[in-house]
Amino acid sequence: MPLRSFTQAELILTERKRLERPLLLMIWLGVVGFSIAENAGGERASSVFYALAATLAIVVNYLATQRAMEVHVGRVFVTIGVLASTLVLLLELLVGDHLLIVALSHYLILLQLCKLFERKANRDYLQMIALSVLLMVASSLLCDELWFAVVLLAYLGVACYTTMVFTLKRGLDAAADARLACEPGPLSPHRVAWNVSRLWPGGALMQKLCALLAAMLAAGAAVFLLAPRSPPAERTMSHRDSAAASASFNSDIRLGEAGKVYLSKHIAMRVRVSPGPGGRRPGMLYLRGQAMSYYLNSRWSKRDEEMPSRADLTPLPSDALGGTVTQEVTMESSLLPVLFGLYPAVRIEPAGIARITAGRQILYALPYSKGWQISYKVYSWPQPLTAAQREFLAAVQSETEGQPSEPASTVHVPQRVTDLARQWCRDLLEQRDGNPQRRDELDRLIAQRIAERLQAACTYSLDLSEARLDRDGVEDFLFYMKRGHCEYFASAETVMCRVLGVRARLVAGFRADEHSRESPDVFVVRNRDAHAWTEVYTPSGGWMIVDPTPASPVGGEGSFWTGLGDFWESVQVLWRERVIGYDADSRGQVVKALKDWGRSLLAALGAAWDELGESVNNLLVRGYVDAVLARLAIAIGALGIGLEALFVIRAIRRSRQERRQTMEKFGVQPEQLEFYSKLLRLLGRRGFQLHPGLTPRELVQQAAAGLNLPSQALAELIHLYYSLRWGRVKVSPEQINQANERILELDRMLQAPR
Amino acid sequence: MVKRRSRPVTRRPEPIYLRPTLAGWLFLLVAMMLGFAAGKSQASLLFVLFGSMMGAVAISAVMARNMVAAVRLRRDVPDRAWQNQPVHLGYHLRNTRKRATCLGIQVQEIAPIGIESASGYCLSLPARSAFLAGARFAARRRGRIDLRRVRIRTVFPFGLICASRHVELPASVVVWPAKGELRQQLLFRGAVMTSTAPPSPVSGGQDEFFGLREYRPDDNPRWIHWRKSAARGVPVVREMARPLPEILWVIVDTCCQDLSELGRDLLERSLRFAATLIDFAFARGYQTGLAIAYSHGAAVHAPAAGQAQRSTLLDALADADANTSCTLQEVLAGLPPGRLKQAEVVVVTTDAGRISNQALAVLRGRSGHLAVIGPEQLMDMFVDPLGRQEAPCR
Repeated sequence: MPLRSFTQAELILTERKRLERPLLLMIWLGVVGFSIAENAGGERASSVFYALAATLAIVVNYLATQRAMEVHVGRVFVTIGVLASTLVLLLELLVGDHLLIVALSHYLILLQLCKLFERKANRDYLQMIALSVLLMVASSLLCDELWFAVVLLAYLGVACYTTMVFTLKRGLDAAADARLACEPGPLSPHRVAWNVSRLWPGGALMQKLCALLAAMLAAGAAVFLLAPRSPPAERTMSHRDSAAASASFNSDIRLGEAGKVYLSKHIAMRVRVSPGPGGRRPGMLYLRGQAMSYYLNSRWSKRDEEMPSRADLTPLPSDALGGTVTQEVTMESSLLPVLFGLYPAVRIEPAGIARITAGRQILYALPYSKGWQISYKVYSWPQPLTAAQREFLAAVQSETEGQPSEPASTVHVPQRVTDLARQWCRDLLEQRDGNPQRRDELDRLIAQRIAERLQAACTYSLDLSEARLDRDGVEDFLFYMKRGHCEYFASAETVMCRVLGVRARLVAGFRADEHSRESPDVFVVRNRDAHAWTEVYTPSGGWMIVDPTPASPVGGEGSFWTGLGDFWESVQVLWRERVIGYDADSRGQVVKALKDWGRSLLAALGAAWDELGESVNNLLVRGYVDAVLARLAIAIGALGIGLEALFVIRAIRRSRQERRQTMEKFGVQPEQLEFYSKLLRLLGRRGFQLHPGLTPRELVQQAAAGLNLPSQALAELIHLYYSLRWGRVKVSPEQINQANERILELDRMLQAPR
Repeated sequence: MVKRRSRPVTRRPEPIYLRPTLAGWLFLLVAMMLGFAAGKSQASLLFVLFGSMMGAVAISAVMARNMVAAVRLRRDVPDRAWQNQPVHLGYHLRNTRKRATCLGIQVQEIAPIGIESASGYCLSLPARSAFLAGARFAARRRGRIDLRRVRIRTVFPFGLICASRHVELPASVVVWPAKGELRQQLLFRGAVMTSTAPPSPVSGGQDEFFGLREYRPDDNPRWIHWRKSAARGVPVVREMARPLPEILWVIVDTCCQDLSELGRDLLERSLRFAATLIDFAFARGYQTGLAIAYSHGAAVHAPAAGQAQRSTLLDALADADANTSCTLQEVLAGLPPGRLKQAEVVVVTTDAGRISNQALAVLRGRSGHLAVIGPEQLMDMFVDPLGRQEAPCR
């Protein structure tokens, strides 16, 4: 591969190296950004290949540029390369399973690689810049991850800088061509360079770049915030949905979806809990939302009625009320129609605009959109229940829930899951078979045993990139992934209990232990607190909570990095919620907030104007100064003092700058030349101005002749000025004073009547 | 040639024109497509990209406009120029802004027909600073060329928007006919007279050695030629001769009945020859005069030396027009007879047959030496600069 050295003209005139380096970085960032986008879509092999190939080509070019050389091949080979790239594109489209935009992006990368090894002129640089920009635009259609956004931001900065340098280079080239074209023979580039400034404006370029980036990002943010958005139902996603989700309550539990779960800190509800019997405040709340007991093909569906969404107007027995734990819930309406509360909830009182149907369903009239909140009150009985409470519940449940269905008929899992469950609880199963009277106790023990074994065998993780839909979710969790989040643990627990004949069901809701800063009775429930657990039924104890999910690992060694990781997680969550999830509702809120701000500003200005008018009226009519006028006067005074100080500071700085310039230029103090300025002003008032073509000596000679002044005195003054100005002679202050006095004498002579 | 400064006249600020370049139009097209894709897909990043691209166009326009508005321009242009010779222009650029730098400023002469001009370029003009940008132009035709306006433009930062401003800077340039080469020696030295002047103290002076004579008592002993004195046995001194100043009359017959392209070309060649001859004569120290016919009459410039005379004569050649009325006889009639004596006279004509033998005889009798240069003689003794291929100046 031949190497060509930059010509002297290219080095001096066209600043070629200054363009090549940022251009290579720009191309590399574009390829990296596309690789991230492609990788997010699951195309790892091809993304790595193209990234490596581009990196290698760019490194070779960079090393050549550092040595003022250019790596290039013949045009024939470049043409062959382009044809080969076209062939690759056709193959990917016809044979491969890539998206069209991915295949086209591969084509753009290959074209750029061909261009890198071509002998480049300005036209080629322009093409490379255009190809890189198009590649980045295509990548934006594919991916919306935070990593990609960071790369995109860096790319914007480098692209702006590269384009600015290229624009300047084109001007330099045009100037050089124009100059060289007028000469009869070849010219040294140094001679041509006289036409342009030789100092590369690096600092000015960076200043312009900062201003440009700020303006562009501001414009981008403004369009992002204020552009009209279509309602969510009308959206058509032109790119793949990224395999990531934010943790939140999910009434449709489906195992096996690959992706990562982000813990969102968004507040879903606030619950004020009144102290239970004995004044005990619960440390952790299991707010039950929905119970599901039917499992098929990795998916849970509900067979039980929604609890506690149904209003219950049955009067509670008076002695049971004393033990009630009251929860005042304020939650987002987007969680409807599910209502949450501690189990067992015996009564629900909706607040606000709600109606209760004939089937005792509670329906709220508010829109199910962001920002709207509903309130309701739940009355629950804490465990353990009293006998009267159990009887009451049994009566209510027989009417509403019914008895729990037979376990085995509602879960469908592979045989190996059943075998594993039997293996874990063999001894307890034997005991239960032998002691039917201890069934309740042994069922609870079986559930606890399964929970312990699950916590030992599997780890808690939110990264489910390896999950597969072609396998049963519980089987995948137990035998392949061996890690998962609460839904997987609860599903495995419930399924295994079910196959062993224990009546269990999956419950989805929230588990919260965060107290509000304002009051210890108020629990703050966030989206990340969404949880799934198992409830095991025994006739004697009712539905008992069994939570098999282990606690998430807390930071220990390397807590700084863990903290950094948590910070990055929360930034990613913020990115997904606030930026990617920005929709018409969010825009409406932003617009509404802007309008409210504008209205409040106008109202405040109007109120201030009215106050001012009232104060002026008080001053003019009643003759007294009230507080508003006094404050206004103080503010104006302070502003005036500030402006005055600013002017003084500027004048001082300007004076110092002039003194410094005078010192640098003349080598004398400015006050030493003050006498000369006075002399010129004196003569100027009499009509003798110093104009071009007239020396100071000639001026004073004319003035002496015209005004009948002593020429010797004037000549001495000019001689002193010449000595200071050009002679660099040290002059004593006495001489300066004498000169000033002489000028005063001349002034008196001129003012004296003739 | 004296460079004159074109003083900018104080007037209202010139309007600034903004127009997208070809790249700008393509960029806007891509931005619109991206905006459409953003609206269709509702992808947040696409909205940000679309807004950034539109912001880039807007900030380009604002930045370019501000830079062009901040530049003050003054032009240095020479009074005179040779045809087809590059002429240097100086553009004094000054940035009036207090902090911001102007980048990529291009200055271009909006030249009338007949000029192929180049543009000056300033890469970086810091705040409150000045820069002299050079430009070159070549006039393709002789005569007086009026320069009126200069365009200041920039496409910085992204080359998407071109901001330009026209500055009125009136100036006039006299373009002399192109200078060629004389193949043959046309000018001969005139008579000399004996001079008692001492030898010129400066080597290369105009004095010529005439002969030796005996030493006179008032002669400077330094004049003594010692070798000859030794040979002759008596002191002898060198006697120098100061030649008479050469006088050249150039008479140009511009009367041209054939106004076809060939006829005009012949006239232009004659004028170029005359300009070459005049320039050559001044370089040799001749006192040169010119007699030339215009359509409104004949003009006679008496011989003189110096740069001013040279400029006057060449200006007269530059102003020559297509004359069909004023003949050579009228020009000859306007010549002062007393200044022809011992002068070399060169008559340049497009048609030697138009000159009568009688007129030639009279002229030959009055002058020291007469040469008539017609089209055939031009071919032999003049290398026309426009006769060979030359790289055009942009």
